[in-house]
Amino acid sequence: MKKYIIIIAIAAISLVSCRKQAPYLTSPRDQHYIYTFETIFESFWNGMNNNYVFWSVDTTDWDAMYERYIPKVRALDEMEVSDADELHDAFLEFRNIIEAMTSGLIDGHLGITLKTDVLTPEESFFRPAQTRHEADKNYHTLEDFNTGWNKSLTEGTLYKSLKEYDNTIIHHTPAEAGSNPNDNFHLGVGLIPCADKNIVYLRIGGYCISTQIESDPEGEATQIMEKYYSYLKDTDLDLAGVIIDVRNNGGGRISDLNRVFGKLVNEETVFLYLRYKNGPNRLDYTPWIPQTLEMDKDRTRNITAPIVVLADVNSVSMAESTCHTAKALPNGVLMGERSWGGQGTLVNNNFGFENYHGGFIDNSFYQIYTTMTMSKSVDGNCYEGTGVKPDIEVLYDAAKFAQGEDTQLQAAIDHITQNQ
Amino acid sequence: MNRFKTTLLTLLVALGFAMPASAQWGVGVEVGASYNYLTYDQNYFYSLYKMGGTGYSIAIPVQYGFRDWIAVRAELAVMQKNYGYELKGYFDGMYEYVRTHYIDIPVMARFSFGGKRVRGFLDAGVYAGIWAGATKEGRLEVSFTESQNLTDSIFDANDPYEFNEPYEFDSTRDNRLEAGLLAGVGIQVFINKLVSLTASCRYWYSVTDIQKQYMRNQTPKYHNTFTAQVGVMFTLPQK
Repeated sequence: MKKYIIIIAIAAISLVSCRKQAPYLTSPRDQHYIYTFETIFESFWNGMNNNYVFWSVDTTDWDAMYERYIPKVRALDEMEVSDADELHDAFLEFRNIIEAMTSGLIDGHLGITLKTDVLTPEESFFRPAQTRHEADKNYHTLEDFNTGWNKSLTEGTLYKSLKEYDNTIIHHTPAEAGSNPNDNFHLGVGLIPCADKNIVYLRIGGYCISTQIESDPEGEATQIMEKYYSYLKDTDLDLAGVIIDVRNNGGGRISDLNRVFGKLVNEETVFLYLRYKNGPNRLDYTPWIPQTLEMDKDRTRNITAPIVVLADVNSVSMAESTCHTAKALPNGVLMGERSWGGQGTLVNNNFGFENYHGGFIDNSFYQIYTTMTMSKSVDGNCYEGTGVKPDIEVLYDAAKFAQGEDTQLQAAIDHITQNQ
Repeated sequence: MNRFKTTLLTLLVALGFAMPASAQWGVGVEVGASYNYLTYDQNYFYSLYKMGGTGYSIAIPVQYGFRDWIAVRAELAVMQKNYGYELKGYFDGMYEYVRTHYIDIPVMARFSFGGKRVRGFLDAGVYAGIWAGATKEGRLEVSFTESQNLTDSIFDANDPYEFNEPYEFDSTRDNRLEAGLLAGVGIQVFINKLVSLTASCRYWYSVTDIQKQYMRNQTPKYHNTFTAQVGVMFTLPQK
């Protein structure tokens, strides 16, 4: 009897030790005392391993990236550095390793900054999606678009099409105009005659409408939006259609979407699904959470005329949520180019982790600007990294646009005209 | 798993050497409740407060008594191994809860002691099973309803999303098979020579991760289940 008890006890003890040991993970957001390339690499690799939200769809073999590059990183630590140039070369090599490792990651928002004075600002920061887009021969820059669009407004297609137009400049932060030239966006609304009706045209250069309205409730942004609402509510105004122009729009406040579409939806409308991390492993996710547009309470009519969303390759983030909205509306049409491919939501500080358990990481050595949520369209597909494909493709014509001839806008006007 | 198979074989061989003197077959039914929690190292994901879960357990045991003090017992058991997490503070009210249904086959040795009418027993054994299905419920927030006004609670700023839906199995992630050890204690009251009532508690210690190994530096997660059950055992008459 004693012999059997001993056998069983030994068997039980051996089975108890079958449970695997968990890895020791340090929060990448709290790491401020790492001093070698290897420890920075380990922090970065593990930070992405546990916090990147796209592992269920991203084809990058992250384990293979570790195996491939850790020997090179260790070699960097063993290098003897005798002057500033050699130190710079070592840091540049490390930066190139990180860039190579992340080059295939699909997050369209992903931006990586290495916080070191050894590298120049241009060397320290890179965006994998930007690199991929710039390699595309059809890519056009933000500046090229702005030049063409302004020409269209002052003397080209828009100038000739609009019968009335109001506009202002809005900012992501309620700062003085001109404080950051890259942070100023055009917000404008007008009417384009279409046969004996009118097309409401809303130009949104950046989604910071709520920021402006909240900082200055009586200001110009409020007046522009009130004008927009007046067009949609005026039952004496025959509507041919609506054009929401989010080309060259880098995104912004998610609360702006209901400001734009609240009077255009005739019922509560699911336009997108989001999910995020709920644990340390790559595939620990919440269920898909439907995101809805709510009907504004002070709507005066159902709008069944075509709603065209105009987007291009530089339409990102909230602008892509706008693209998804066009796909979800029964009378919505997405025209223009395939969008950028950055469709998650994010906060640019470490506090987002408390709710979303993933995303943005900032510490003393690097910053990873990455989204905390993953999206899928109402058709069930995730378009992160690939962009939302338009229903009607109208490619950017650089030569004509430079002269103010906006072929994409004209195609939108023509589509509405043909669908009366 | 190789270690598991070796140990299981050792256990069965050890039991086989018990000399039958008054061998008896028995069959019964047991019903009860389960309490389960997941063991895993949260590391810095400390804001996910783990929750245990209660559920049911049902079993059809078949028992062969070698002697009056030792028997081998196998069961076909269906039980819930539920678990979840919740957030606190500003995110109070947000949670996810998973109800999982397992079909387990435990095999154990039962060592009994006591008198003819009332006997105590100790169980020790192993089990293997399959994750048959699951549902997921909870309350999370809808991001696109966000308000920038300062609030005391996430649900003052965002609309809640309440859900109760089938759990979507992921073939890369989810391990449908499980195995482990069990130990239990209980009491058996004989109504007559053929019918007895039982009440027992048992602890199920899983040695299999609920997730497959699919990544480097993966955090393993294990079920720990307590069951309490009552039942009736019918001893089959000897020829």
